[in-house]
Amino acid sequence: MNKLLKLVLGSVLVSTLATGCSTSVERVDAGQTVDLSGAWNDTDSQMVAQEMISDVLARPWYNKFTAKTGQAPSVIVGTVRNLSHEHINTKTFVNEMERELINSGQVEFVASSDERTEIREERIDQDLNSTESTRNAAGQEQGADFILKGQINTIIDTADSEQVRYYQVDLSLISLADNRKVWVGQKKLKKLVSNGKLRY
Amino acid sequence: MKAVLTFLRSRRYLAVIGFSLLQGCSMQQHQLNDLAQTLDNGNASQVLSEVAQREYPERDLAQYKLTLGLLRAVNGDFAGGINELQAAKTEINQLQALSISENIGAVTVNETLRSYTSTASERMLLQQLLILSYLMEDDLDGARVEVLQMQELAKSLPDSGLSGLVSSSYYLGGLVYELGDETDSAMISYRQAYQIMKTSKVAIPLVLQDSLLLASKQLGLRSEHEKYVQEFDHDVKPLDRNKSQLVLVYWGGVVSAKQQQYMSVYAPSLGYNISLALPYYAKHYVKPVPWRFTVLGKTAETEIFDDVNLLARADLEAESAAIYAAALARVIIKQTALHEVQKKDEDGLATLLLNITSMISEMADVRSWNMLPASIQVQRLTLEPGTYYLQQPSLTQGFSVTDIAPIIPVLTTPELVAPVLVNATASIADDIAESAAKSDNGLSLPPSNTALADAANNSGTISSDISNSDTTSPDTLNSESVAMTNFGNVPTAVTVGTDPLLLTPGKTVLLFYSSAAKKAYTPLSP
Repeated sequence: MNKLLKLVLGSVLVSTLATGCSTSVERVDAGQTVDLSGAWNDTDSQMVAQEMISDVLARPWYNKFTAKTGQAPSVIVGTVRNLSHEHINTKTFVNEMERELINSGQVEFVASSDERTEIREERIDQDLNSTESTRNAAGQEQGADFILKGQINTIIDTADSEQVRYYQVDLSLISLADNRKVWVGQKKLKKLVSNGKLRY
Repeated sequence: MKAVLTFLRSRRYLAVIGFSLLQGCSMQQHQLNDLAQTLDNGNASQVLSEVAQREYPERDLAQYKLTLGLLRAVNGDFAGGINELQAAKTEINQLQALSISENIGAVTVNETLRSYTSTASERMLLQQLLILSYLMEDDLDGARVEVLQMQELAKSLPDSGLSGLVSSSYYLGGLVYELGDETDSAMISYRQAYQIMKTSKVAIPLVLQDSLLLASKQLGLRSEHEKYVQEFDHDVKPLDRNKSQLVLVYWGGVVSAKQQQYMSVYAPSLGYNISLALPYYAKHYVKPVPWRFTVLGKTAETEIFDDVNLLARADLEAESAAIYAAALARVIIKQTALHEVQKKDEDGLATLLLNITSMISEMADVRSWNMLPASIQVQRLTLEPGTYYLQQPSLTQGFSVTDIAPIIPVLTTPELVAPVLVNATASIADDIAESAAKSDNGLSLPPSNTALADAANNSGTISSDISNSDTTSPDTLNSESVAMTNFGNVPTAVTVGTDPLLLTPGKTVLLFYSSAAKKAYTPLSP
């Protein structure tokens, strides 16, 4: 009897108190891979951006353009659509690609559409308020030769507590002069996610 | 005194405190149910402020976030709603693993010791609300992510019964694909909505019929298109790219709350009848009816897609076997413990205590996402491109879409308002409010004239905020507005800014109307 009674009362206590947990924080290196949920994360974003930009700069279109014009191509990163099953912050992915492109030193990089709008407003302000010697004139912007666009797609396959997450990132570099696709890149990621069947 | 000291030394009071806490949880649910029912009066903003201040047990986190997210969304804070709803979804996903401690608690104490994980239909409706919220935030890709997640979720639905079969979620999924020019994916979603309605034995709404006919025609699915033509007894013309589409999603009423009942069953192991606390929904509820509104002076009606009350009952039915088994096991454990205590309890105090705690702790889990609408309805209209205005429901008229900028009458010369006139206005407004409250379109905020007049009479500052607004001559008032502001020659009507709804050729714009807030919303940049 006592055992049963203790079980009843004990379970009340355990069940009532079990929900409380303390928070712990540990600093880790920004480059360290930490996979928690299996969703797209910072490591995926960095890895895909690095590999795809390395690929795009190593392809024939680059040499063809420099040979023809005698100068480095100007590139702009357009939109990368998220068509996946997850809410992915594509802005961080785009920023990663911009960083890789600029730091490669092989291409000129043009500010994005939003940034250009802000800069133009600043120029208008300069027109009104800056001295003539420091004023920057309108109409002197460098136009991009190519635009990099793409999308992220996923295929999810789930059975019980196991899930296969397949990510496919497709990017294409399009010539702004004649709409030609000069490069198409693809990066695939596959993750096997096993969720616990029990929790405390 | 001695008995009290013995009682305290035995630490049995800890159990009493524990059970009292559990009772508190039950009370909280009843209060939430009461709050939910007041949503029928359209006071979602008041309910939101009350819910936002409430404390909740950790195990009810998902339920709390669902409630808060819904209230934020129906009050027009779609970004805030998305944050709460995503938090709810994360919590629900984390709770899918079986909890050892919660199961022990549920089998020995009661079901409310389990974390709230939501029902199949609630999860599908969570997806729907997220789809709507992302569309309202003008984030089509975000809405598309939620559609994909909904389709994944649907794979885990029960194989039989109506639990989780939310046709409107699929219809909205189709709409999202349609907005993204993905007709093939839209067709799949419309088919799924159609299949659900067939399973539920519900008449296919004309809105869905037309979407199926149109998508199958666009995709060149001739045999399927022909099948629909035969079944629906009509065909549709291809979309006129020079016209605009308005899709109205209506969330009406409030779903009924779960209640508790006791069921007496014979326990062979004990040799007598025992009483089980089980959740149930009242058999009878108000069946949804189409919602009426006005478009350019003509009356239109929405079409019923989902009866959420029916879905809630189907969810409970799907879970009933597990709930019943746990309740039976729990009561047998409690009664066995009671018997054992009785054998060795000389003064009878322990038996009494255990009996009381056993009775008090025995309660059904009546938690639910109780602020969901009672029905979800849709209508789709083709309009000429142009500028339109949404006239939110008022005391005298329902929601309407008009091409004339709405004129909202207010008093601008408060010092001239005679007290007798104010009282007369108040009594008129109260009569109208009483009759209007009977219909869904009735707005339970008589503040428009009455409160303004009262405020004007008391402070004389009523016109200060509105004095900067564009003033319009009373001559421009339409007849209904004049009727509303018939205070003699005292007030002046002014137009209070309403964002116009610009419909361009070929554009489809979503309208979301919630009866809980009595307000319609359009996307950020329609």
